[in-house]
Amino acid sequence: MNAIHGLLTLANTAPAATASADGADSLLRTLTGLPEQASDQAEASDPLFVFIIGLSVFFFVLIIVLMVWFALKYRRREPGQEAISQASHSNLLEIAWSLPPLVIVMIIFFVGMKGFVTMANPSANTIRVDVLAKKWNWSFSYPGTALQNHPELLLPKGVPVEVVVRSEDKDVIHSLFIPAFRVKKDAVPNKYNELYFTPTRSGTYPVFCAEYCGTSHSTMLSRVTVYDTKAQWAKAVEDAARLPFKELPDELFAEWLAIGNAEQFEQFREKVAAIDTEWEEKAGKMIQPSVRGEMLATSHGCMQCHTADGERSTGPTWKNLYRLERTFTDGTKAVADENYLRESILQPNRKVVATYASGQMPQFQGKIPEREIAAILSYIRSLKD
Amino acid sequence: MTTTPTQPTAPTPTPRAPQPLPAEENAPINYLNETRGIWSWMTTLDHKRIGVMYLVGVIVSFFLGGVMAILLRTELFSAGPGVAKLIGDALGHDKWQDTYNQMFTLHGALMVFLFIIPGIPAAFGNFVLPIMLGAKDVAFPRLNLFSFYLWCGGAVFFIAAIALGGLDTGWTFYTPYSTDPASSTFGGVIPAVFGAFLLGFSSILTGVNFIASIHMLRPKVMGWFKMPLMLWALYSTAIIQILATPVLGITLLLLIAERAGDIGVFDPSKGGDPILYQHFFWFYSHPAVYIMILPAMGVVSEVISAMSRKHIFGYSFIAMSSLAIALLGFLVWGHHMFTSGQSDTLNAIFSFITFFIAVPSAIKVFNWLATMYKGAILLKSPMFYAMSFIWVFSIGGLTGLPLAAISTDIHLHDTYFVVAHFHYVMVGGTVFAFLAALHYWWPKMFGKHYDEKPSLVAWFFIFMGFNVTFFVQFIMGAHGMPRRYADWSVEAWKASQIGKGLDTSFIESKVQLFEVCHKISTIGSYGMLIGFLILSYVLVRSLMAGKPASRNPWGANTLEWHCSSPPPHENFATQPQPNDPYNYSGWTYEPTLEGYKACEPKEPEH
Amino acid sequence: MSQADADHQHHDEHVAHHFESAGQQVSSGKLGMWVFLATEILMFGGLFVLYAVYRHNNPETFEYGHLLLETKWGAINTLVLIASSFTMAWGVRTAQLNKRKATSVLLTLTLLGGLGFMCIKYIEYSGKFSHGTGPGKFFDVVAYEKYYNKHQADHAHDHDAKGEAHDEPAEPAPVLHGTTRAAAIAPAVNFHSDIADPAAGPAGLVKLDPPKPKGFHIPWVHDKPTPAQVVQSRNFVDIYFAMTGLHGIHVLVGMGLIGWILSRNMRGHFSSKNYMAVDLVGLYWHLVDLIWIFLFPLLYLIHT
Repeated sequence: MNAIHGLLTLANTAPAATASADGADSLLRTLTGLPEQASDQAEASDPLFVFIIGLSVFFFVLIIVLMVWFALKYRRREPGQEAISQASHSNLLEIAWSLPPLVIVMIIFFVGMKGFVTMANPSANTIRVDVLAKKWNWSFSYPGTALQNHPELLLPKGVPVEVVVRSEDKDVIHSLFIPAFRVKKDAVPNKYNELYFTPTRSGTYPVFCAEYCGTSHSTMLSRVTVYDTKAQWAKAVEDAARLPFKELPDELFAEWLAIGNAEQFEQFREKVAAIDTEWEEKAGKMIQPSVRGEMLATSHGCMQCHTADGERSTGPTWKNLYRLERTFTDGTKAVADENYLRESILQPNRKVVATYASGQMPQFQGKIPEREIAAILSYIRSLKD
Repeated sequence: MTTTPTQPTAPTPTPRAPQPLPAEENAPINYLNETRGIWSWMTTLDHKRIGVMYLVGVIVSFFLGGVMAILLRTELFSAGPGVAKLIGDALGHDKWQDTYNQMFTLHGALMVFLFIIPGIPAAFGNFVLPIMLGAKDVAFPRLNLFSFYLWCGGAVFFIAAIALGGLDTGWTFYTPYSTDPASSTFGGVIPAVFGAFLLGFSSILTGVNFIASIHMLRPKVMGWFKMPLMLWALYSTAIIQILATPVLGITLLLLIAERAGDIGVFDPSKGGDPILYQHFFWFYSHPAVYIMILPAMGVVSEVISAMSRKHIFGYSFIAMSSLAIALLGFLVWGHHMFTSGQSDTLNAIFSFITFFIAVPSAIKVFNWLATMYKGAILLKSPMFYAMSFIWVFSIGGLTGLPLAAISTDIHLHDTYFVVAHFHYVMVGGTVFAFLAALHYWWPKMFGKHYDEKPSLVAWFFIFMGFNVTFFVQFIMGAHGMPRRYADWSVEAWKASQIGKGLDTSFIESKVQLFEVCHKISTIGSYGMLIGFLILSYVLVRSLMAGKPASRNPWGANTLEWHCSSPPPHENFATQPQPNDPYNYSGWTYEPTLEGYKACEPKEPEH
Repeated sequence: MSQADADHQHHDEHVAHHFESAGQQVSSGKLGMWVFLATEILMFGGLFVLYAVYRHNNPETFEYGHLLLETKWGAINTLVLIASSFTMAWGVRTAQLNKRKATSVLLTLTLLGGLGFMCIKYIEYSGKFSHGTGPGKFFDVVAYEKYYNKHQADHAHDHDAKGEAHDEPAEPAPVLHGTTRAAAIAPAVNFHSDIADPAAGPAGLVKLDPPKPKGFHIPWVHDKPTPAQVVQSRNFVDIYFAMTGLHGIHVLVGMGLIGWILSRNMRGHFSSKNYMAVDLVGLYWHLVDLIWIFLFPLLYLIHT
């Protein structure tokens, strides 16, 4: 285990094989069949791909030229002709054609590993997108904004992105695939899979489902739009969020955008209900998961033992809990990511944090729908300084 | 399907063969005709007859899988509904995409479970393994027949699956798609999965038989390192068959129990773990790739050495690399799951080990080239197919590198790049070696020659057609064309969730690229079809009116060439004395035989 | 072909035509059987891995599951199988020694052992099915609840008489909603709207974690898990049936094979020169026994 982590660190610190967007580079990409390059991930993995293809062409040509040359030069010209030589072994030759491939593939492994490590690890100050896959569409939610369950992916250029993919409860496995970013992650029911990259080129690119999921697998499509600046992106997100509230007065919409907790939401709802019950209903459906999570956490009784302000109570506080390293009663450690937090809601006694008592919290296995868990996790994530 | 060959009849001399060959060369009474009637074939314990029955069975399966392939390539000739819609309407499917999904599922399942896995080991392995050992039969002839009938049972279940409405799970049967009747709605899932279970059992019993035969029936003068390389390949294959297949067996049984009986093991909505299914499935199915390719490599080692009339180069390296591939093959299954969300540590380990397989593969290829060097290479059908194997296996192997490196695999996983890669390895590798074996051992199996010229025409169409079909798939895969897509048209985008009033300009150039690549690919597949039709004609004609073949048309020295063509029931009239299987000095060309006759062997100078 | 076999000029009638000697045939048979047993171990290996993965990922599934099983029957079955393995081994020995009658008796005893095992398995299985703790679609919490309440009422006086302290509540368990697995894992708190009604509160949540017994603990017959604990154990039930079911099929196959060699033995097919079939069936029977010896503690005995 330690050795692997050592290797990972080594691969991570090795000098990056940088790729510039110059003409020769893009020509090579075109020659090797790669599509447009629009993320740091693409910039990191494309040179490796181009290198491997070049290497493959070299070895393939070497093998085929030798084979065809031998086949022609040493072909049997008359029946019964015998071979010139019966040489049958040479350890020197065996070493000569075993060692170089071994060295080459080890280099490829390390470079590939390095590219993967950046994809698997979060950078600071990311924009987060929650992706929910179901048969047969994608929905993208943008925590911290008013835009929820949007059918398209909107991103700013140059800002690291953290994409968390999961599949609907009782659905099948899907896979989020964005060729321009060279990223792909399976959406598995009841599991949170993470993906990190930074878009580097503005434009519109296709999004596919890459894991076979049934009848309409080939129309489970969407697109990603990358905006030049974060401000443009924020505007686009706001515009998209406005769509269901087209008729809502501007000042009320501004208030809607500013909602950060359940209390503000209740106030907003009362105000809107006075004008139009349809908007109230929409507001209920479109509310941010973190606000809904706050309400659910209260209604499920979570807040009787957990606090949102950092105070210790019967259970650990939720303040700054997300991605915190936890030590358990048996001495093991884990980072409190989505999968851990989900597990702790469903089966609280599997991993009890040290200094807290076991058996205090009821199991929620089979008692809480996955979408409510997702909302509560969203609330926990929002409790971060 | 029929499991007994419609041929062969007594090898009566035909007008094309004015001079009948002596009986010790071309035996008039042989394993094919010493007893007659369907019953004598169905109850036979003779490994050669069982091998021939397997051969007929796998060729029929290949034909069925090929029909599916041609249908789905025809559907993909242009985007949007095509032949799948016609068939789907006839079958009463709601959506033509379902029909397409059934086509690729059946193509994959038939080809993998009924053709590629039993192809070389069960058909040719059964035929040549005991003779190469100088034995009269495999260690357990009854078990051998039983495993053939298990194969037939599996085939019957696959037919039943088609009759009961087919299946659309993909050949990998991924959960929870396959376990949820609301997702995979067709009735053929359980019969097909049970069929795959029976075929697995058949494969296990063949493996048991081969291991026991090689250990126990090997003559004492034939040490481990005096065995033909085909036997090393079959031995390595058998290790995989007996150690990996049982895990698939239990996985498939659990899948059936889950779908039919609602137990919760793999389906997350029932408390199961779908990633665990993938681990179990690939724990078998990755080594299974080596069940497909190792015997192919064994065939190529035999053919290249014999056709070059030169001692195989680096014997022990080729033999040990077979074992190394078999053992390493068990440790790399997780490279199918880089995007599944398994831990980064696992990804790193699986990627690391995967790269090691490149080394034994490279060793084999370079040793084959060194064998050809300064040989006397007979450029006839078996050699053309063997060289084609090197061609396609090199491409297949080298394109495995970007799939083994994690960062590049993330992009290429589940695209047509992967489709092209595994067709280059599995079809290219296995089918070309299968055809090499068919042409190489044909005179031995049936005692007849085939016409060389039309056979080379068939080779040309198959080889060119194959490369045209699959090479363009690398390009569209790298461009992001996902696999198992029924459609890629602009209309598909308009039918998607973002379709309403969509400005499709961002996708048009990609759609055009996919369209062109798919068209080229389909045209290539028709080329292959023409090649296979010519090949069928050549082989049927050979059976009907082929020139009788002598005992050793190629001058090879493995023991199957020491008995008459076709061999008698107990293989050898007099017990052969095995020596170095790659020392060809004991055979000299005899024009009247159109083959070689035995002479005093020389010790090879080293 | 070799010198050692040269003295076997005449072909023994028991030796198949493709073998040189009886020794080669027996060695081949044994090797083949051992290789086959390796495949059997890998097949069960898949299930053992499944068990281990589940135990690691879902420990609560295993917490009360074993309470559904009656250790008494499991223990008796273990003894029955070990005894039948002993008679099998003895039978192989008597076959070697040409004692045909003794072999027949011992094989019959072995067969009876297998039959006894399957009868006890039948008792256990039918109880599970009728109490609603069958695998998959036969899992029915309401049926189990009825059984549980009746059981608790029947044994209430036992508890008082013995004065034992018990964890289980004496009163009937709270009624769970739904009858099938799907209903059992459906939310007890019903949120049909996307926004929860804050007034609903945590009602309907059953506190599922009573203090649990620690360490090695052989439960008494009347220690039954509560319906809520059974809901939590449903994957254990599935795994139990998958493992013991596959093992049961192997016992049946073994019994068929023993019946076959028994009838061959009665017809006098075996002798001290030719007893390979008895030997191989014996190997198979020992493997079936051995697998049970792993299944019994994994399923019946260990828990937390």
